[in-house]
Amino acid sequence: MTLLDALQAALAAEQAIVYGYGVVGANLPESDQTLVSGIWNSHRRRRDLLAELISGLGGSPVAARPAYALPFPVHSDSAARRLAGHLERGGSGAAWNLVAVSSAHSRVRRIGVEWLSTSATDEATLTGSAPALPGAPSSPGPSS
Amino acid sequence: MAPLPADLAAAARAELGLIASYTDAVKHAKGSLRNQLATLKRDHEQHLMRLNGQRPGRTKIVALRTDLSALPMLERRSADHLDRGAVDAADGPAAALLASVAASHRAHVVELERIIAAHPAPGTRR
Repeated sequence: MTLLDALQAALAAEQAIVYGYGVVGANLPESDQTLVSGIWNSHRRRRDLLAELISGLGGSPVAARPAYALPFPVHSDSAARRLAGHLERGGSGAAWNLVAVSSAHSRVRRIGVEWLSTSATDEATLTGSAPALPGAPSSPGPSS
Repeated sequence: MAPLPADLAAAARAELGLIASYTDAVKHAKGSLRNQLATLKRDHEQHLMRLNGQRPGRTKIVALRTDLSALPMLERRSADHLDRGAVDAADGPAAALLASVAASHRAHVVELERIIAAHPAPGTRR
């Protein structure tokens, strides 16, 4: 995977996440709206930043779809939290790839590192837990 | 066995320290608190396994006397180190692993704050 491929995949992931958080927010109580709005805005900012980086590399940022299929029906608080977890796990996979293909100290490396942590803490906040290794592919890591 | 890159080896040593702290915290906790802490400890064991391929069961872990209230700070401090290592690492996949472990530590801070709020009595431990 090239850096540009990883950035395009990350942008596509963020576009889906931004859409998905609209559904999450619509199904959570008023008391969670400030939290969800903050998370949503953070994803929107990262989406815009990724598009800028792609353009800066001479690529054409992948376009968002008008709508995205949800992985399951979302009509309740618990389903909304489950969807948030699903979205964050998708994002952390894209973030892992950004870190893996980028150079040390680069802007993309820093974005990926920050994204992994933000994603895990947001998932833990909204669902109560996060995976042991956010974003990690199931195959063995670099140490094996 | 090939030696581990220095950044992964340092991260593995830090995981051993956290596992030692959790071992003590789990030992002195009861009921649901014990189960919740044991779940977080298992995450650290997975981190160790991915970082150095070693099962904690094959490593002698000494329980390190640790107050429950100190665990979030230990997790946060470790995450900061790991994040720096991830930014600095020349090897991309190693950097991703370090960043992922850091992310898990930060999620643990969120979970620990919730756990501590639900078990406010200082007497839950010794």
